[in-house]
Amino acid sequence: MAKLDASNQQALLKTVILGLIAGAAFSSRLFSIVRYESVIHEFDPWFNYRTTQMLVKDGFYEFWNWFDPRAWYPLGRVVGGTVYPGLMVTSAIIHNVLHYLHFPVDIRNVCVLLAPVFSGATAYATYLLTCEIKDSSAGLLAAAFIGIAPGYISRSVAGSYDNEGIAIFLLMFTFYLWIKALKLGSALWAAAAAFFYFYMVAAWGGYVFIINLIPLHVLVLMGMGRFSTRVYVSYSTFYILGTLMSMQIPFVGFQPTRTSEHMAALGVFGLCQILAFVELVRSHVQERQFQTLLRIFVVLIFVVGVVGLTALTMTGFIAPWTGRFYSLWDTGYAKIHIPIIASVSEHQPTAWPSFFFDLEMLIFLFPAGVYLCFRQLRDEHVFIIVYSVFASYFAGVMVRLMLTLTPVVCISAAVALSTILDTYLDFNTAESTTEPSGQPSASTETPRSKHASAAAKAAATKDADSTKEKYFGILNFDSRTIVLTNFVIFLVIFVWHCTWVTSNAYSSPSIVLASRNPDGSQHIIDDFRESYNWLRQNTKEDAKIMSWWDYGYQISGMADRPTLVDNNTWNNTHIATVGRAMSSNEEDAYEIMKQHDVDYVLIIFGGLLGYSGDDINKYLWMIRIAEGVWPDKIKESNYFTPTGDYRVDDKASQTMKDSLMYKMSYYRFTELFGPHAPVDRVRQQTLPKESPELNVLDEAFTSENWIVRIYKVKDLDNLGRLHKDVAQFEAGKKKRKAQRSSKSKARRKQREDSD
Amino acid sequence: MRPIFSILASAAVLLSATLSEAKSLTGNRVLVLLDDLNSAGEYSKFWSSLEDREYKINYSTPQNQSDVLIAMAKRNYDHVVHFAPHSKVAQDSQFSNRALIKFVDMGGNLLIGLTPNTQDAMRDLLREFDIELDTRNHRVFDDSSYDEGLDAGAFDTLVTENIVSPKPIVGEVNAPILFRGVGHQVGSIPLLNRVLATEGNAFSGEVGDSSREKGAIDLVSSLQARNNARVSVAGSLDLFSNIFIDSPVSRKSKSGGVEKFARSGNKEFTDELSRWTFQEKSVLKVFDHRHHKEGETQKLETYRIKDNITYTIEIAEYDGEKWTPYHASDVQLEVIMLDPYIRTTLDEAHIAPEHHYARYKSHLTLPDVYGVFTFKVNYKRPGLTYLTVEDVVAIRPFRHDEYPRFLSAAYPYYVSVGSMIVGFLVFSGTWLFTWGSREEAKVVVQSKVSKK
Amino acid sequence: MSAMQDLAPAIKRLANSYQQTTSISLKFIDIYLVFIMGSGILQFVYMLAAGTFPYNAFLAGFISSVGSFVLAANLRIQTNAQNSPDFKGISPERAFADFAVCSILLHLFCVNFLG
Repeated sequence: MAKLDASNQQALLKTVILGLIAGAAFSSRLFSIVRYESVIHEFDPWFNYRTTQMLVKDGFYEFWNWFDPRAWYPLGRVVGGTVYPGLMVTSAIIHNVLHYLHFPVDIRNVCVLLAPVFSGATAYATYLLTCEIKDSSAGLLAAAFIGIAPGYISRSVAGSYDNEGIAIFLLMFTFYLWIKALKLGSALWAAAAAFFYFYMVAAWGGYVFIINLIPLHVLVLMGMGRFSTRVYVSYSTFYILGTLMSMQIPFVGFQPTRTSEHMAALGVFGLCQILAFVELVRSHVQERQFQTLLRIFVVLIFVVGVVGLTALTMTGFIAPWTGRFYSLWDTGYAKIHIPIIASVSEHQPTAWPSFFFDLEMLIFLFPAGVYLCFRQLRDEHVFIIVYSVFASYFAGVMVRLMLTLTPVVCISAAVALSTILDTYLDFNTAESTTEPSGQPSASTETPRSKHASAAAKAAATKDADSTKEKYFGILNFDSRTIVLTNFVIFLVIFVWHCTWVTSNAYSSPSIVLASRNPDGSQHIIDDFRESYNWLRQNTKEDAKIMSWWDYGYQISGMADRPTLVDNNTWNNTHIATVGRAMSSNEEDAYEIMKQHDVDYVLIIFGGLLGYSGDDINKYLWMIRIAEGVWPDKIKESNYFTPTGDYRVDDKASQTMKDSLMYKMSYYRFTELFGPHAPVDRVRQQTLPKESPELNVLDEAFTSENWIVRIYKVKDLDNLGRLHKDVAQFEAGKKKRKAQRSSKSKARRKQREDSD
Repeated sequence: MRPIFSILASAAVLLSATLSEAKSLTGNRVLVLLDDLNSAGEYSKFWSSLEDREYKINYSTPQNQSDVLIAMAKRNYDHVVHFAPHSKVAQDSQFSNRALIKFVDMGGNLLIGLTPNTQDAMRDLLREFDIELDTRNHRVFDDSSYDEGLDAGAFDTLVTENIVSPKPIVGEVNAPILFRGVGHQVGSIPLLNRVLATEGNAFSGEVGDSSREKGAIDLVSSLQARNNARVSVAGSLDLFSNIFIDSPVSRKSKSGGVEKFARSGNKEFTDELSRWTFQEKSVLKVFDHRHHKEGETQKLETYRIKDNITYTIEIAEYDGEKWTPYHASDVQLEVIMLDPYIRTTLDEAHIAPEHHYARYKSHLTLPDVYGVFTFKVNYKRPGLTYLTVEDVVAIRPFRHDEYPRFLSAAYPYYVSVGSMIVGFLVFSGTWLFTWGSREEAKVVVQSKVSKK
Repeated sequence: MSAMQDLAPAIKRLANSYQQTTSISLKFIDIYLVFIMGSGILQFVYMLAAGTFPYNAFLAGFISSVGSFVLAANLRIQTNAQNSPDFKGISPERAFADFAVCSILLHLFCVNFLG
């Protein structure tokens, strides 16, 4: 058998290891498919899935121009211009390629498995990037870490068909291309980086991170005095091509020239041009005169630049930071001004245990890796330092941005760990290192000058002595063993932790809940799909469903019915209208529902099962959002008891008891409890014995565990009566207004007086 | 698909109408409820005028449970004449309030006669129609407009010419109308219309009561429900009786004057009232409605913003025998998305006289806003059938290739891009062409520099 | 101000140095750069005068100018013999190939963006 030489062995090993890492990354994301079925999870992926289905069915131009009249009824949604198409186009291309090769894979399976497949690619991209930072051994470690780190897995399990699935791959790959371009100073690599930046812009709104991080990196390099022609070539090409390409996406449009989020990149670009020009002039002119020119020039440019930028921002031509990104700087802003952003659970600040939960041992190797970058401090290490500082800040502000922290943590931790392993696995002893340095000095000895040769030899021996003294290595076997065993154990526990976290915390499809029966067997709670299927099969095709915006995408995807508001949350007033309808009394709510042609209302109620993600728990957010638009009609304080508690039992405030959401949640709930008073397991409160009355809605469907309740909106009464009165009439309890004639009244009074 | 369906449906209705040989569009089965079957003869002239109009009448009492109004989700009768205000009915009776309301909800028409002794259950029923009957034992008196011949001295046999109804319900009646009974107050819902009121000096009270304020009191009112079922409420059973129909009128006013008329207008009034109530007149119908882009004929579900479309609607009126064109100048079309964006009056178009409907058309330009819009013709006039015709369409924005292209304002930019491309090609060509010679020149320059 | 007094001789010195030390290739590129800059300035002035409608056409034209400028400046930098220690892997042929590919990419996207 022919033996491969060292470099080929290495190449084979690297390929096999990367393949295994990709396989491990893929398989660790498959828990939910194995346990339940191949189904799309959560909320946003349902919209992406529906869009992909449409793209595959109708073709690219229909998708690009798609106006969806079944979302945000009656406003409609221009999907082509308000969506990041990268994810859907990727899936559609893969689907079409597979079909062309005669593999008839269903689009649902392509969508479900896209993120796991791309996680292998992310591992490879991280490997490439880390190779540029340190070397391939660190690269392999980094690839392994990011393959199974829970911080990344949480958004890329099989079934989580969301933008982040491919966006992290594109993020890593763009950064790799940028570092490569910077190192080589090549315009081609920069153009490749720009192209993948364009792909990233097409895929995720987090592209703003790239377009601010790379200019920041360049700025720091300039500040360190490392501005060189390489930096100029790579950054200018990247910026100009990247910006041009990114404006092709309709959703981004002209934002790169109009919003504050992109101004940093433009500013650094301008600065690049100025500095390059200044360097050019410097090479032609004497120092003193150059200083003169420079001073005048800089003053001029600075004044013009600052005045121009300020004027444009003041006049509003350049939009200030949008709410989503502004809330990263001013964390209290969203709660007061934009309650919709504050209400999303992913936008809350990160609790410190999440860092350990998502990253385990990497989080304490991370600072060590950054320190090692300071030791080397080439251009690419500056990049890692800048990336890690800013990613740490953002991850601390918003839970969702843990995802952008994870790659840099993996890289730094890999650098640190690989350095440790290099040191402790370095089998070169002191003698073997000094010998090669001794030999060349002997060979350079010339017979011409004995003195010179003696001096050279002496110098050589001195060198050898000094190298012998200066060699810091680990020589003992036992110190090596202890440290290495320790770290191997760490690595094993890391893998164990990651797998456990993935299996228990991040593999829930959230449309299917699971719990345990008393005998230990699994009990599947499939209420959501049961209800959406009911809607799909029992309502007319254009029945409009009103629900809180969380469920909009799922209703569109699974029940295929028009919805009033969905997870896109682009129109605050429309959402506030729905919130107002849910928080008002029946008559006001009926008016709103009739104006919007609502046919069914869908709510989630967890009181029977103890499911805490239900609408009564979200109710305060509905009220706050409605109050933001109609402060005179809805007041949050009205829904609390006089002592300030949020109660749903008999101590609940009258506004609370009259509100539509309360009535819909607890309608007929008391029937489940027989002679006892009903108990709400989520709020841990006992409700009044009488069920609330619902007059304007008919109960249409309640799922098996009472999680989903669907109500039908009644038509206007035929005789123009109020629904309340109709209900009383039908029940035979209509109060009769007793009328006595004045004469009989007088007669009675006479009788009373005479008594 | 849908136009064919509506045509078939309207053909079926017309066919069924001719088969049943009734003048009324609802049907010809009438159930008359009386307190006492023997009293049917008192109203024989009213019955015979109904029978002349081809109705099949069934006489019954509310206690008789064998006559069922509704069986197996279908009406057994098309009209109910309820002249039994004194009968007590149980909650589960066939003629309970709930059953009667259900009957109206299923499209049946109701004609109710009352007396000052009306039972409480009937009062409750009237409250559902937003009519408040005057107190028990109160009746209407008018000592400035009463009939000398029939009045027994209590001034409660009034004579009135005050027809306040909208034209489509009861038009002109040539003679004054005799009335003896109870008044009511009409609520504020827009479905109600007053039909007959007293002259301005009447009052409502008990016998012997004269210390009340005087005014016009409502005697007969009508309600047209949202499903176009009609209910008429008259405060007097004597209004329909033979005595009042045949009687001449000698109206005595307070000042002492006497006006004489040969015959009361009761026959004409009750005929018109029953015609209206039983859907023989003032019934409108939309025969067809369509919309399409200018120049095309297909009815689309999606239009584009700023499209020019034509909306057409065809309306006919039933005159008791056949459908005739309905002429009006106030039929409006609204284009609504939460609020109306366009509201325009439809113009009547000229069509051939053999068509039995009138055609209304409008040319409009769709708004500049995209969304899901409703084309709505919401024609509700007092006394006429309510017409509500809705079409939901989506209005989409421009496609990416529908925007104007090659704008003149952008010519400098087109020129610039072209010049950049040309410049690039020229430059690269020259660069490549002079590759060798520039190398030599570079060497020469470098050597010059190094010599310095 | 002494700075202003020194300005004129400084500029003269700059011009002389430039004339003498720059090779033909670089001067050739500089002429091309001046042409591009002129075109860019003209477009900007036109935009200030006539308004930004249609904005996408303005951006396409302006970015094609700026992009061509940047790519030509890249070529200048990469073919300047003084800078060769910085660009180890980039021979003049490779520099021109990069320039050509990037320019084609630039012009493709500009034409698409023109609308």
